[in-house]
Amino acid sequence: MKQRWIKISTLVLAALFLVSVTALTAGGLLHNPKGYSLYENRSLAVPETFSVETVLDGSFLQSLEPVFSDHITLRDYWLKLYTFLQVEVLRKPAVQGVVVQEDLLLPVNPVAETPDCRPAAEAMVENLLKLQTTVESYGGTFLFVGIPEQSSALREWYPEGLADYDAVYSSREAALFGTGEAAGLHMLNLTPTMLQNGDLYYRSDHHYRLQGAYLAYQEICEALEVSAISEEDFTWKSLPNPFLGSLNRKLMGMWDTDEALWTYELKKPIPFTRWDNGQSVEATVFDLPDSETAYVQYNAYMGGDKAETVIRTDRPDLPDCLIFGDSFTNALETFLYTSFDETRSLDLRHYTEMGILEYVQTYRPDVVICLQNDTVYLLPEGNGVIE
Amino acid sequence: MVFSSTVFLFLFLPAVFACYFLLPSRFRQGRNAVLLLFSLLFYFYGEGARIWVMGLSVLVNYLLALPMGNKRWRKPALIAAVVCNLAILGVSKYTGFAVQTCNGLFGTALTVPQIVMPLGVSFFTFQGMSYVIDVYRGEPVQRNPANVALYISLFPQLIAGPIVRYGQVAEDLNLRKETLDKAYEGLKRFILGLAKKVLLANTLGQAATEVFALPDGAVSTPVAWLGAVLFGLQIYYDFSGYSDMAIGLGKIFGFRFLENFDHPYCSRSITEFWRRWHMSLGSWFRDYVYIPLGGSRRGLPRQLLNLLAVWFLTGLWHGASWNFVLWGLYFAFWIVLEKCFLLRFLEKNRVFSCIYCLVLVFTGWILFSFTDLSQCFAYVKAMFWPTKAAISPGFWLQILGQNKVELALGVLFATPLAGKLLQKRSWGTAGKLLGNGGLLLLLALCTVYLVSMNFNPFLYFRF
Repeated sequence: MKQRWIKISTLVLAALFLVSVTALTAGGLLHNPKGYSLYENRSLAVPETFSVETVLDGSFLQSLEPVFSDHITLRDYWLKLYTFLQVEVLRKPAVQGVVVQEDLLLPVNPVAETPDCRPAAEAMVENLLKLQTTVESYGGTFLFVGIPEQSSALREWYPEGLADYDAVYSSREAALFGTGEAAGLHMLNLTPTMLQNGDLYYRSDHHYRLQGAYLAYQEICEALEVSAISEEDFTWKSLPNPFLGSLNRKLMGMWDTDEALWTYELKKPIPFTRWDNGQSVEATVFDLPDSETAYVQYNAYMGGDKAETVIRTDRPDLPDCLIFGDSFTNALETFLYTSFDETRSLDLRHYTEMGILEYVQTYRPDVVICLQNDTVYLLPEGNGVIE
Repeated sequence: MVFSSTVFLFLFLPAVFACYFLLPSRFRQGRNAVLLLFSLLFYFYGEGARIWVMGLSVLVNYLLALPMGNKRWRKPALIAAVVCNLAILGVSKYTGFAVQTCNGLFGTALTVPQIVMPLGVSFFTFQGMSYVIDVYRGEPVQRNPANVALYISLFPQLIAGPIVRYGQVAEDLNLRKETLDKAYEGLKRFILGLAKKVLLANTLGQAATEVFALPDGAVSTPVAWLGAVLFGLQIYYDFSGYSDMAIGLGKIFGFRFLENFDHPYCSRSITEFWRRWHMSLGSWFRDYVYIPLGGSRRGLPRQLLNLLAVWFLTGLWHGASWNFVLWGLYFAFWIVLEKCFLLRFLEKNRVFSCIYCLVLVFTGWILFSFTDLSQCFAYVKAMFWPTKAAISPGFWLQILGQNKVELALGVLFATPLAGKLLQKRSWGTAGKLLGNGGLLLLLALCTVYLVSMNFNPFLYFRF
């Protein structure tokens, strides 16, 4: 008899588990079919439009799995439990694409390198030379700036056995800068400078800190012979908000850290106006949460990746600048606008109105900066598309 | 739809259980209709309009079995049924392969047709053939087309087996009984199968993929063997896990499916391995191909030929690519050697025979996994010819470190040790409660992994 009741209770509990998850998920979906995952930095899946066509071709039914999985009740808790199991119980060296160490998180970057980077470097240099020629044709100045990503800046910290990041990054750097400088491309390699000081990079994010961006800003201004603000012109500020780095985000924010996001305040503010994607927006370079307890992320700099941003300071005696690149430009731009009259910023992954060559010819900025991190030096995609 | 998915666990299963068990058990036809409807929905979910191929298979087998009551039409009906089933399988799975082979052999430039192979076509055509052959051999003809459709399309074993012979379930179609004990045992089996797939197979599979993705020349001998073992464990837990889930679900609905795996990695010969691995396929080929060809009854040379034929077909059944044929013939070679003289030697040397079997089986998995033969041979060469590889020597330590728990559990549960240890003790009520609590926790753990993992391929899906 006891055995029977044990069996019945097991069946009932299993059924209750399945049914309650289903019911709560369905209820949540009906209440709010859209959603956003903070930790995955993406919108949650939405079902395909229900129609005869989508049912017959299977696309409606196929869309149910990602939708259900994305909206399953207590999803973040399931994910946190999974992360806890991987990190604390199974003690895996790498979890969700992140190498987990006691005081440092590092990305597991795919290493898809052929031994000889030169053909890819030559192709990239050829395209960059086209841009340089276009800029110089109207009297402008072009500068390619190479900056190490966190995995490169802290490459010595990777455990043995993972891909040889040093060999990969070094060969890429040597190929690009060697080929570029030999071809007459104006280049600034910030890797040696950044590698000397690991504190310029976050421990839980793949970007550099604002201090790293400031150092890059100084080096760029020196290379362009443009005046830069000094540390006496502003005050560093550390935000009290908990910082959610991109790598810690992959671990559902469960890695313990007291890292903070840094901002700064000019002692003599420079008034400016700002347009994002053609729309006038609040004139700020730091997009901060209202509450001190809310997470703050790297996208606080310039409000994250935008297709096009234009900052005007109404100082016609200063040159105009265009900078394009990925998220590494964001922190840099918070300083860059102080040295130019008009600062334009593009992210070619999102900007589709025209190619960079046409853009440059249309707006004719005095200075054009291409800022790339070394994980994408040779990638003919996104901000590596020069057309 | 796969069993290891949130839609199946939380939408499909509750719905089918609710609709099925809400009907009183005396409404057998009603319950069968529910099962059939959900089975068709299950298939339609993955294949959409291509469900017509399975529909055609059901129709062909049902219609061609009907005249088998008549002596005059028995044989022609059987031949027609087999030809039709093979045609369905051949056209949907092997047309492209045949055209490519023709172009390669004869230098022709025929356009390779891009036919999308219907899911599970290899399984349901074999089940269809099993129906007509069993009816030819004396099973009563199934007059109700819905029962034929149910037998062929039953969702627990539709897309990845085990291949259920008609004779084994003919009675169950109308006379089965769903009981509490069967439901409980079925649930247990299902959860254990789900855990094998989600907790072990998926993780080991990711690691195997990392190794197999290394460029040529980067694979050292230890890494090559590690990759082979990882893949061998992945495919075992993937497939046996799915079989467990199928058997468990079948049990819940009152069906008795035969076992499909019996600790195959504990075998001491290739002959024994194939009596423990994918047993439903092995017995299908034995009963419907090997024995009708004469088996071992017509002398050794004919027996060897029959073996070659069976293993050629076994390899080809697994995939429309020459590496699968090579894989089948590879096992044929060793089975022939064993039949000729090797078995006698292996029986006397227990340790050697286990090592022999594992080495051959894991090497065979490399033939199975690489469709590009040159890559395949390069990998096998790395396994047996010590090479100085370009990859960091610590790579295999990194893979081991990353997957040590899953690898250890994978090796442990591949043996009967864990099961024997659990069965040795007589568990009191408290023990049983604890065990069932553990089972439910395992279900929750599988849910955690399902929600979190985006790597969830199922290897035998495309057969």
